Amino acid sequence: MAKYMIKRIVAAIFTVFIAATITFFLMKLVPGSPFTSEKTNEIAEAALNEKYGLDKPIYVQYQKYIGQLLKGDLGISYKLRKNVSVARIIEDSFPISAKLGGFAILFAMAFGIPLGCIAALRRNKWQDNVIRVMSTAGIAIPGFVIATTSMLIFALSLKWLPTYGLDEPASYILPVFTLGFYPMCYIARLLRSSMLEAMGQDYIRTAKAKGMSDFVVTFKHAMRNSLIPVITYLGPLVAYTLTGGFVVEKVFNIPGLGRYFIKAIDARDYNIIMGTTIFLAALIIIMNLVCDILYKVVDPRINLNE
Amino acid sequence: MILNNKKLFSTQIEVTADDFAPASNREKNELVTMGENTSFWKDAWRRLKQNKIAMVSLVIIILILLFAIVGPYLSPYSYSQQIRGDENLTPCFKHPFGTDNLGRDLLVRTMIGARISLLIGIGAALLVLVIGSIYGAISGLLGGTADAVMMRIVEVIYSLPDMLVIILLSIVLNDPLTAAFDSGKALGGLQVLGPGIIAMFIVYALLYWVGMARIVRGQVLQLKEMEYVNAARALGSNNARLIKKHLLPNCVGQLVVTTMLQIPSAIFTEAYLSFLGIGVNKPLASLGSLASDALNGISSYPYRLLFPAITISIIILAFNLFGDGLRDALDPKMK
Amino acid sequence: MAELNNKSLLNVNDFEVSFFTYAGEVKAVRGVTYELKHGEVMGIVGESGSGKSVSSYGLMGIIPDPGKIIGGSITFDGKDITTMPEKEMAQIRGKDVSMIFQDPMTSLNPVYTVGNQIDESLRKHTDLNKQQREERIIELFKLVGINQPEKRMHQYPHEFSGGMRQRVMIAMALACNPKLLIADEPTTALDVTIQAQIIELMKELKDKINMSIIFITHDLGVVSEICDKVAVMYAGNIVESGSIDDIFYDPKHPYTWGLLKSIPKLNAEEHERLIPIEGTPVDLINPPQGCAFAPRCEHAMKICLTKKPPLCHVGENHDSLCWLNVKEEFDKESGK
Repeated sequence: MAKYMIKRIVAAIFTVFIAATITFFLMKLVPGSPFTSEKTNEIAEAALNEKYGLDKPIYVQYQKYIGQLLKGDLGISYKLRKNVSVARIIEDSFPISAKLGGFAILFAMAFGIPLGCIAALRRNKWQDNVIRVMSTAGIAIPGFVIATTSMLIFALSLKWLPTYGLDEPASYILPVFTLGFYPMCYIARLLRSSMLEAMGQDYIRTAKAKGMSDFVVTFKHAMRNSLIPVITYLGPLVAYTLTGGFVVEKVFNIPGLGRYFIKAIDARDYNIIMGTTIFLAALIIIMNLVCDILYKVVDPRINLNE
Repeated sequence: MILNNKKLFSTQIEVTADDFAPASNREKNELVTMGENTSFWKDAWRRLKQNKIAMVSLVIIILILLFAIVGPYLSPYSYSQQIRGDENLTPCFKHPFGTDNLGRDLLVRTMIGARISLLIGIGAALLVLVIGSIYGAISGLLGGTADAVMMRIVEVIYSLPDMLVIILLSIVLNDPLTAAFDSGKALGGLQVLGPGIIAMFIVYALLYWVGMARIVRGQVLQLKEMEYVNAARALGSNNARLIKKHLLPNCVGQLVVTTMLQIPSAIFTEAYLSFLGIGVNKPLASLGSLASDALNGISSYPYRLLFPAITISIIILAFNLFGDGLRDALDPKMK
Repeated sequence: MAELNNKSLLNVNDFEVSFFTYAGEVKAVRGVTYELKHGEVMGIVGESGSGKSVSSYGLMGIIPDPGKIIGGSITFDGKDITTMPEKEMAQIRGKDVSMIFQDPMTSLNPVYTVGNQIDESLRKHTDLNKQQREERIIELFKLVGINQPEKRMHQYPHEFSGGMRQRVMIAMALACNPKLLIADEPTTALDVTIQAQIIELMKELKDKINMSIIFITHDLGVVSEICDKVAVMYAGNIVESGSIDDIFYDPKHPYTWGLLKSIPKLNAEEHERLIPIEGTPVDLINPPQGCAFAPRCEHAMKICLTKKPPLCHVGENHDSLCWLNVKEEFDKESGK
């Protein structure tokens, strides 16, 4: 177990490192600097570049950046919030995104798993058909469509829910729903098909041949096996809620990390873009790691000592 | 003659000597051909035809292709044409989808948007198919250390958060690509698409093929295994048939289905990026950018959002459902 | 051999099963009739797709979707189980009738320990308490030859080899002292040496425990080792049935001849080749109106192509479904 964990953690750190390196060099490909604009003259720009060390050779900058990164220093914002550290910006805005994402994941699981179960158990009955139509449509409709239409209907036309911000509890409903809808449908589909697959396995036949009731066959023998794919989906799910959050934060005007990220893109604020990317990448990679370990715990076939 | 041996038969049996004449091989074969197995592809096509949802999706895909490819030629307006005096119109006879604040016809813009979306979907899927197949095949055929290293690379790419890399790349590539477009004509008509789209293709070429590579590698390994079995069973004439009948369809089927399902996912990604403002260049429109533009006046002009939103949902839905139907048809046991 | 008495345990009468697929109705079992006495061991032989497995799933009431029983009756221990309510059937399944499957690698649930999976059956069908059940599992493991039962029962299926897993499956099937054990190709998926061990184990168990066994296989060699009687199935019909001696020394059906010729002999001359039966099995969606084996039969006659052969009682408890048997009688009659 410990050996496996160490191996996985080393691999994860390596991947984060690669992500950081890619990010760094990609950002350096961009011609000009954050201080290039009509208003500043060349001398002022050079001075600013010198101040922030942007005039040094690229490998020096890279070394410096990685060195800082290891200390948890993501640099400071050049433009958007001048001289505020990126770590600070993430600290301020990420909890909002995390809260939103967390609720969305809970929502997706809480509805997706029962829906998938019902669809599989009532295969080809009306319940299954309704769930299938809904979930197929759900994974085909882009997040921004759901976000904007639900805002149009529930906030602007019916005026039941607030349009933007996260000031009151009710304002969470639309963002969480729109962010969680796609994963909910995805989980329902995933669970339905994995459950149907599990139901066709030989060990289900064995359990039936032992005289086990449908309940035991379904919830003891089929369920645990069919939850395995859902667990492996957890990693991508986190990635989805984080990046999908960008859209939701844009539509509902929520001051989370995503909105900062988009603003930083417009403003060419390198350090924020880089810092956010590395932070999110690390988060996603860590979640994948957790997911992997969880997967091994649920499925005893995988030998953790290998 | 009537046979009535109670000890031997439960009932009386009436037979003639003719009945016991030996049957010719031809007669025997006629019986067999009655239930002849149809070929794999015919069989798959028959199953696909029976799948109503898949067939409806196919029709919708064809209609959308016509809408996107032929449609703009039938329209009296071009997608960038700003018609004076027709600004901010609600849907009417002259402009069925209405116009935007610059007086551009939204029907033709939606058509162009659909065209861009389809172009990206199909282009990206083909790119993934080609790169993934080549990489996977090489990895599987080489085997050994090369295979291990190549699969290690796949694993690392697999664990990179793709959306973030796409966003980064599109931003980063924006300026150099614009510069490249401006300087030379080597890239032909590509500059119309804008650097965002080109960046997307590049990201697909860099990141998205890993899934395909894994599938192809798996199939190649299986093929190698088969050859080994082949050698061991040198006597059997069945193996050629085995490869033709089982392995090839398995492999091709999986590739077709994966490619088919890659199309909506690429369209999805493009719409997402365009919605965030990092997709196509103005004045070109994609369905995502149209929806994004519509967000500003959403309370006054909700239809500006609805038309592109519905179009993109239908496109993705149709491709998804058709892909599912194709998978069921090619691999009946997967259902 | 276990002592035989004349009371019949199982009566299968004109049993029919069809699978309703998109391509049409696949008539997998087309009227199967046989009887099994207490303590008797019957082999059902046939190639894949002959309906031998499906007909036995019918005994358990676990015919997989989209299969349905469309005719006939099965009387087990005096009760018709085709019309029995599901709840009552669940009491019989796993207790009075139990089953061993072909592939031990996939027949055990990978995410539960083997002990847990046997315990489940004991919990459902017996009144034993936890400790008694554990003792019973240990006893069963010893019976089927699994060493260190106390440790092994807490392990997962993947920690067992194929042969050992099949022993676990056998232990599971024997857990509640069934009256009838159905073994569905229990050795097919195993290595040859392991196969021999499992056959040896089944022979031992047959003598130790007084239960009836239906042994489904495509291997006549295995049948000759442990069965009292044999039914040969082809295309959903029993084409020939009789005692071991009848089938091996006096077969009456060309398909049985073919099967016997295709058994590899250990003492065969080097050049003596295994003779496979030519052709492929029939399409069960449109079974031929005559004899299903006729297209592959080298003795096929005109009548075989158009008319179903009648059941011929060619000996005491020896039946054959073939026009050749009729021809023999016809020749005898007309020769007179």
